[in-house]
Formats: sequence, C-alpha cells, structure tokens
Amino acid sequence: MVSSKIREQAAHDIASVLPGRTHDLARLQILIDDSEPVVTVVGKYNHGKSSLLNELLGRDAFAVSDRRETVHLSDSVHRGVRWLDAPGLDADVGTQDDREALGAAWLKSDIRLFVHAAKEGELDAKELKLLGELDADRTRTGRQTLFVLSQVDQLADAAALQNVGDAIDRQMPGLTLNAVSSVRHRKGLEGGKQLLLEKSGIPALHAALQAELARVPHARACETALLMREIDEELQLLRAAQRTSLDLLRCTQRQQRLDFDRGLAAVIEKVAGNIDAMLNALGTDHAIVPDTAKDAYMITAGKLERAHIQIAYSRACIEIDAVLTAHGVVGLPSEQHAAASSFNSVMIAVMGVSVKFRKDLRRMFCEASGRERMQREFTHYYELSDDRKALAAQIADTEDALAASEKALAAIRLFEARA
Amino acid sequence: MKADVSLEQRFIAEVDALDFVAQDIDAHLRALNAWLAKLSADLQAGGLSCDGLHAHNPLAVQADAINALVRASAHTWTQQWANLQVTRDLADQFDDQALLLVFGKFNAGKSSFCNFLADRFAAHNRPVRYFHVDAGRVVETAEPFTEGATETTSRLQGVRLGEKLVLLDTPGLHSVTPENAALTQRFTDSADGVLWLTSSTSPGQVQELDELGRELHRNKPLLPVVTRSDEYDEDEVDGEIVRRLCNKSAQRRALQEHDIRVRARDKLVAMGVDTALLKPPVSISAYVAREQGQTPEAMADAGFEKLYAALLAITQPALAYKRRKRAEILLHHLEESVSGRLCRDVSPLLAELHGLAQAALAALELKREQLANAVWRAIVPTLPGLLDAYVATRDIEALCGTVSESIVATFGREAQRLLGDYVIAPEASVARIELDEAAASGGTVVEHSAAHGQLREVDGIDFGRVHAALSNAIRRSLLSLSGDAARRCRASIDRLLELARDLEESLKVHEEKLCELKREVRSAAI
Repeated sequence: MVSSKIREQAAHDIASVLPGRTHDLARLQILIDDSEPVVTVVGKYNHGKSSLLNELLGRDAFAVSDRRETVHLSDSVHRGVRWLDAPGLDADVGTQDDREALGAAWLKSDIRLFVHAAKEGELDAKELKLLGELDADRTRTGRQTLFVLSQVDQLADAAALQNVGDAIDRQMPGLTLNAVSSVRHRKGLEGGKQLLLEKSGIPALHAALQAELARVPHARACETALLMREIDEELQLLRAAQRTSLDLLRCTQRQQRLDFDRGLAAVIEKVAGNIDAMLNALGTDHAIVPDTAKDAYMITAGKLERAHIQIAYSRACIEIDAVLTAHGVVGLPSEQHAAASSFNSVMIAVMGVSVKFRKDLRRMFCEASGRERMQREFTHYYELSDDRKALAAQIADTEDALAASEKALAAIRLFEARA
Repeated sequence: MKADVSLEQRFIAEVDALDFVAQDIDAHLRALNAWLAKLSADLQAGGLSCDGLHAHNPLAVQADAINALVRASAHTWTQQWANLQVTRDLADQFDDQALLLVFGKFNAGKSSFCNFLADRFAAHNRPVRYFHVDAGRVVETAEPFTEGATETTSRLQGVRLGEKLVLLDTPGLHSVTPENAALTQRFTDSADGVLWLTSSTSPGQVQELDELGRELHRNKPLLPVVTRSDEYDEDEVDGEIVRRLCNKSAQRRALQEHDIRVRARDKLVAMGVDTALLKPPVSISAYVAREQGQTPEAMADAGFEKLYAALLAITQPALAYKRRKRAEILLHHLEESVSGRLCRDVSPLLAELHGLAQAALAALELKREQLANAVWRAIVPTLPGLLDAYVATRDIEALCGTVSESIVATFGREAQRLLGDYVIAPEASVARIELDEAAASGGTVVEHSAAHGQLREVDGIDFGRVHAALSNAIRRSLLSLSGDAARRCRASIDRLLELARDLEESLKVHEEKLCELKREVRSAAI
C-alpha cells in the first residue's frame, strides 16, 4: 500500500526530530489505520486471563493451563473485535514477557481488561503501579481500563468476596470490581444453569465491554486529535527555538564580519596614509639606480631610500598583522619562524615576498584598487579562519535541524490530511 | 522405623531429638575481627588527596565524594553491627532450637501454614507456643496467627513447635507498607533455613527470590512450598449452587512443581547462588486437609507427607548452619555491610573518577593550545603601539618589561577562564622575555640629516626585525607557560589516579582475604 508507506516515511521523519514521540507515532499509525477495536487483557499470569477471553469470545481461542502459559502475544479477531492476550506480568526470570505485555497494552489496545485473581486478595505493589499508569493514560488519551476480579468461585463465600473488595477499594478507591468466574460461566452454559450463568458475572462484563466498544470510534478520534495536537505543538516549539538560535548565530556572524571589515579598512587607510606621506617626502627616485661595485661599502642615496621604504613598509605590515591576529585570522605560529621573516603565511600570501619599490607601494597603498585588493584578499582568509569556519558549521547544522523540523511539520500535516 | 509410622510422626520425633552442639568458632571470630581492624586501618591511611585541583574541579568533587563515602561506610557498618545486636539476642534465645523462616508474599498463605503445622504438633501432644516480636523483645501469646487474604501480618511473629523447632513468619515481602519489609530484613539473620511459600494461584514468581538473595548467599537451604493447592468445584443443583473444596490433581501439582523448580534453578544461577540449596518443591493445601478432618489419608492427599519428608531433608543442613551460626552472622555482616557495601558503592565512584580523569587528560592538550592562542591573540595586537613607544625611548628593558607583564596578566586571566578548576600559578620568570641589543636594533639604518644636507650614519631601528624577534620571544614564552601549566594539571590528575588505584587494590585484596576466611568457616563445618 502506497499510503501506508508514505505514512511510515512521515512517521520516520517526525520521529527523527522528536525521538521521544516514537511510541505516540506508532500509536498514531495504528489509529489512522482504523482497523477493528482492540481489547487487551493484562495481569499476572495464571490469574485466568486466557479462560476469561475464551468465555467472552464464546470459544476456546486461547490456551489455558495451571502454570504460566501465555508466553507470546496471541490474538484472535471475533465479531469485529481484536482480542489480545498479553503475557502475564512477572512471568519470567527476565522481564521480556513484561515488556511485551506492556508494549501491547499501551500500543495496540483501545480497551484494557486488567485481570486480578480474587484468591490473591489485595493488589500488590506492581499491580498498583500499572493500574495507576493505565489510569493516567485514560486521563490523557481517553482509553479505558476495565478492572476484572477473576476466579471469584475460588473464594470461600460472599464475606470473603466482600473482604477482598473492601481491601481493593482501600487501595484504589472507587474502582469498579467486575467480579467474574469463567468456570461458572462455562458450567452454566454447558449445563443450561441460569444461576451459575448469572453469578459468573460474564454477561454483566460483556455488557460493560459492549458499551465501551461502542465508544471506541469517538475515543479514537479524540486520541488521534490529541496526539496530532501534541506532536504539532512540540514541533512548532522546537522550530521556534531553532529559528531563534539560528537568528542569533547569523547575527553573531554578521556582527563579527562587520567588526572585522571595519577594523581592516581602518588599518589599511591608516598605513596607506603613512606610506603616501613617506613617498611624497622622498625627492628624486634613487632607489632604482643600481649600486656600483665601488658603492658596496659606502652609503649611497639609493641605499638610504631603500632603507626608508623598507622601514615604512614593514611598519605597515606589522599594523595589518596586529588587526589580523586580533580577529583570529592567524593564530600562534605552529613552527618556529626564522627571525628574519616575521610574517605568517596569510601576510605572505597577500603582500608577497618581493622587495617593494616606490611604484609597488603606490600601486598597493595609494590607489583605491590596491587597497580594495588587500581588503578583499584578507577577508577571504578571515572567512577561512578556525573560528569563522566553526561558526559557519554551527549555522549549517542549525539550518539542517530546522529543515528537518520543517519536514516533520509537513509530515504531520500529511497525517492530518489522512486522519 | 516401622512402615506404618507416618512421616509426620517421624518428623515430630526428629524435632524432639534435635541436638545442638555449638562448634568452637572462636578462632574464626578472631580472624574475622582482625580482618575488619586491618581494613579500617588501611582505609584511614589511604584517603584521596587532590593537590593541584581546586575544590570545584569535577575530579576533586568526585574524590571528596569517595572519601566521604568511605568515612561514612565505617560509621554505618559500626551502626549496623550494633543494630544486629537485636538479631543476636533473638538468635541467642533460640540457640538450642532450629529456626525456619517462612517467606512469601502477603497472600501466600503463610499464617494458615504456620497455624496448621502448630495444630498438627498439638494433635501429637507437643506444646505449641505463639509469640511475636515487639520492640526487640519476644512476647508470648496464646492466639494463633490471623489468617486472611489481605495483608494481616504486619509484625514479625513465630510459633514454637515442641521444644526444638521455631517457625518465623515474616511480614509480607512486596508488602504494601515498606516498614514491614525493613523489619523482615532485620531478623532473617536468625533463620537456619527458608521455606518459600508461593500461592498455587500464581505460583513461582521467581523475582520474589531477589529479596531472598541475602539469605541464599548465606548458604541457607531453600524449600519452595506451593500453598493453597486447592480449588472450589461448583455446580448448580436444583437451582442452588453446591460447592466442594478439593485438592488440585496430582498431575497439575506436578506441573506447577516442575515449572517452579526449573525457573527457580534458573533464577538461582542468575543470582550466582549454589543450586544445591534448592530442594524439590512440594504442593500442599492446609484448607483441604483441615476440611477433610486431618485424617492420615487427608493429610497425605493434601501433600503433607511429602512436606514432612522435605522438612526432614532440610533439617540436617539447617543444623550444620546452626553450629557455626555466630561466625556466619559476623561473616554476613562483613560481607554485606562492610566489604559488599564498599565494593558496591565505591567501585562505581572509582570508575566514574577514572572516566572523568581520562576525559580531563584528553581535554588538556586542546586547552593548552587554546590558552596559548588566546594570549597570543591578546598580546600581538598591542605590539605596534609598543614598538612606537620603543622608537621614541630606545628603552629595550622597558619594552620587554611591558610585554612580560602583559603576558603574565593575560595568561593568568585566560588560564582562569580555560583551566579555572586547576591550581595554576604562572611563573613570572618563565613569562619574562628578553631581547639582546643586536636583535633590538636590527642592524644599521641610515637617515637623512636634513639640517646639513649631508648623509650620515646612525643607529636606527628596523621595525620588521624587532617585531619578529619580539614575536618569537613571546611565542616561546607562551609555549613554555602553557606547556608548564598542562604538565602540572596532568601531574595532579596522575597523582590522584595513583591514589585511586591504591584504594581499589586495597579493597580487592581485602575482599579476597574475606573470601578465604569464608571458605575456612564453611569447610570447618560438619
């Protein structure tokens, strides 16, 4: 079936965003399938669950024995109702049975029959806990639990039944007992004995169950709406939170960039001004006149000029480097640099290693295109720095999460359309 | 023994003949006490100390928790031993009697079981005395136990059958009132064997045995008894319901007994208990035996002959236990409240400490890098300004001094941020940077002398070279500082781990020694 495949994919999309809702989503798919109502019987083993089901169904659909018998979940469809016999609580050394029983009780069932053998007297701690949970679930989802006091034929007399009833009422005030005896019912039917039939409590339980079954379609609609609403609200909240954090991250990203742009532009303007002043102060261009052999040990005008240019240029580089370091473009050098080359790879990549002459400096610092090039290329390396890349990755992750939430919201709409 | 003598008569005769000869166990007691003294002394000496870690460091917090737990344990076990005094007094009162613990859920029919056996002893003209325990004292009473399907047993009660056998009926396990369960635990030390009563309605819920774990580890024999192995058979005759109580068939009993035996054995294996302690289960119905007049046939049909046979079979091991009981009680205390508790509580904490330490060690290298980088990022942008000042003053001492101070201050701040839970005192001498004159002057530079229109040679400053020399010096300083800090952090963790290992080793050695003592106590038994 295409639609069930689509639904499964949709449920998967939602569960990947809200893993805590996996169970609810499984339930939701069952609700939307809208097959026959499901009645699940839960309780300790040997408390007569299987024989109760056999009486309610009017046929021997479930195995009965005087020891733990129901190990795997068995079910039977009868007159438009699916009956599940869950394995007894506490049945095994491990608790595999218990988990399976509870899984079925919670997931598949519309109505729960909680069976407790009358001879056992009051409820034990484990039964009380489960009944409490089932009651909490009734309050939330509207699914009903009918308590059944089974095997009442095994009590000595009416007074004993009264005692047990009183004790249970002290534990769970107001609980309807639904006292039944499968054995009485079976004998009454087989022997045509009216008193046994009536005292079996099975007809009364049957009537109560029919009344609950009639309410199942309405209950299912309510539960479907509830689960949709809860999941939808949770997704909306999640999406809102993700949007907020994405906005914050992007804002940080923009602000950092703005600060960097401003800091870099300011330092370039400053050093350009200094170099421009230095160049204007120079007279004739001596630097390009090569020194002759005899000049080797003499101070020439060329040497002087080259020294001046060199000083101004390295000052400019140091100023720019300070701004780059402050913004994390370059970190602590990982290897010892030779004392002579003070500059890191980013500076070298942008500024080059060659000796700079007047015309080089004019082109780099005194022309708008030169300054723009430096601004552009340093910015390129800025975006490659560790901090910026980490921030960008965080933004990408958040965008992905947001996209998954959007997808999940679309998926829940799909459920709504099909519900 | 004559063939027509019932097992019931044999059992009652056996109880009359029970003879207790206390073993000489003083040597065992001395060895066990010496073990405890040694353990206490070792624990006192070996606390975990956390030099180099601030109190809020997760490792220090964990170490403190372990120290506190060890200290509290010593206090607790002393207290528990004092509490056991109550049990010991109880045990002393029954020193010449066999004590069987009747264990089971509140609806397992313990009271009916005890009352019924009491009736049987009375039928054989043996004295029967009921009692209950009130405020640690035994109060005799003529009243049998109250029976009912709801939780009626709220106190520890017992019945003396003849002169030598006591059944101790414990407040129900899984009992709705938690204080009942606590009371049970307190007196179970006195028992010689355990009868596990489980109702035929929902038989053999083996998870109940979890609560018997202590008793079973104490090597007490376990006899499962399926109670209430009966049912009402009803019919409607002439418009009235006719009822008859009857035993469950032998076949159904065998089915349940087998089921319980198999699962109880699995459970004992899972609990790490010797399966030899488990006796074959027996099914009984006190109700049917009573209703059918307690005739020999009724007794046999209701399962009591089988029960007596089983009781005879567990009497001997129960007696063996009794003879070394005083040593066993001290041994249990040492195993459970001392060694067991230490291992159970301290081991997970030590494991957590290990995990925390590994994580902290793994994080250190990254933190070291982050620290050096953070200081670098703060210092380098100040260099152009400092160099300008240096050009004006040519004071190399001042330049180095300013940078050094700045490093110390920034390093301190960043170390506080990144490694704030460690004690870090950056050494100013390591932070101190120095430049020699040659590096600082950067060679000769020539200047115009505008006043004379002449060229002249002066000492100048090459910005690039000074900057490079300074950067390198700062880098070296930061690498040393951050490396030192990380090394010290690592050393602190290593020291703590060493102490933790010592503690672990000490606990293990003591545990093994106790096991050895246990073997000695039990091998000496008859």
